Amino acid sequence: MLKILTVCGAGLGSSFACQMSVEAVLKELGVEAKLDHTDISSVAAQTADIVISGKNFEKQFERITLNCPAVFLDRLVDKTEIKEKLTPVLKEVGAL
Amino acid sequence: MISEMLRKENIQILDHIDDWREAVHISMKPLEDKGYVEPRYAEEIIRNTEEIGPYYILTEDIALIHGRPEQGVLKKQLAVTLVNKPVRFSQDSYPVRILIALAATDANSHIDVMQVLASIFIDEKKIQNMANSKSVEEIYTFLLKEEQERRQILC
Repeated sequence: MLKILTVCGAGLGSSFACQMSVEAVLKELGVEAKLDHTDISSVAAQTADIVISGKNFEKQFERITLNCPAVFLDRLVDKTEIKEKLTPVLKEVGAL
Repeated sequence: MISEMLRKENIQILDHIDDWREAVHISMKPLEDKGYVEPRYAEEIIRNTEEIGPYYILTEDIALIHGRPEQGVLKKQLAVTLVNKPVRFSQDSYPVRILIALAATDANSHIDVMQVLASIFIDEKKIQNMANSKSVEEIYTFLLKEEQERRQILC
């Protein structure tokens, strides 16, 4: 199953809230996925099909080798922004 | 549950806060006073913020201020600070009126409370509703009601 990982600095607050907004968006789109949240220092050790994080982390992600597409959000809990940015990526990975 | 993780005494309303560092300290004060976090927790969050920016600004008006469990969390708990004049945490981050201080002991055990908060964060009207609250009682009742509504949807 498609695995989506949301990422923030601590891996339990912002990324958790983001995960829940992503869940709501996926439900609307009818896409099934396994979601989890983590912190930026452990993201490289995990596997995922799509990574979602805040714009403020974009630079830090440049230093990490990711084997999947990443989405960077201005507002971590904004369903409209999540849908807009995630939809093309879901198509890219063949989930939509 | 909100009723377990947020004591009414942890809710405060202020007119203004001078700067973001003070905002971190003030938002954590109720948790410090009652022994949910060590005094260093706020300092650690400030240090994190200086390093990577305000990673806890979720959208306009919402800051979910938190650090990692090992940065000084003793027991899980929330505190809510409402500030009438918005605070800015950086030049390019959104102004914030609702400061939610989160002490989490691990990545998942606060899931039920996060679900209630997330249902507010995705709804602009609910954010406005909360930000315009006039009393501690109003905020507390609002959060309890949100939790109840969520449970009814699930049942």
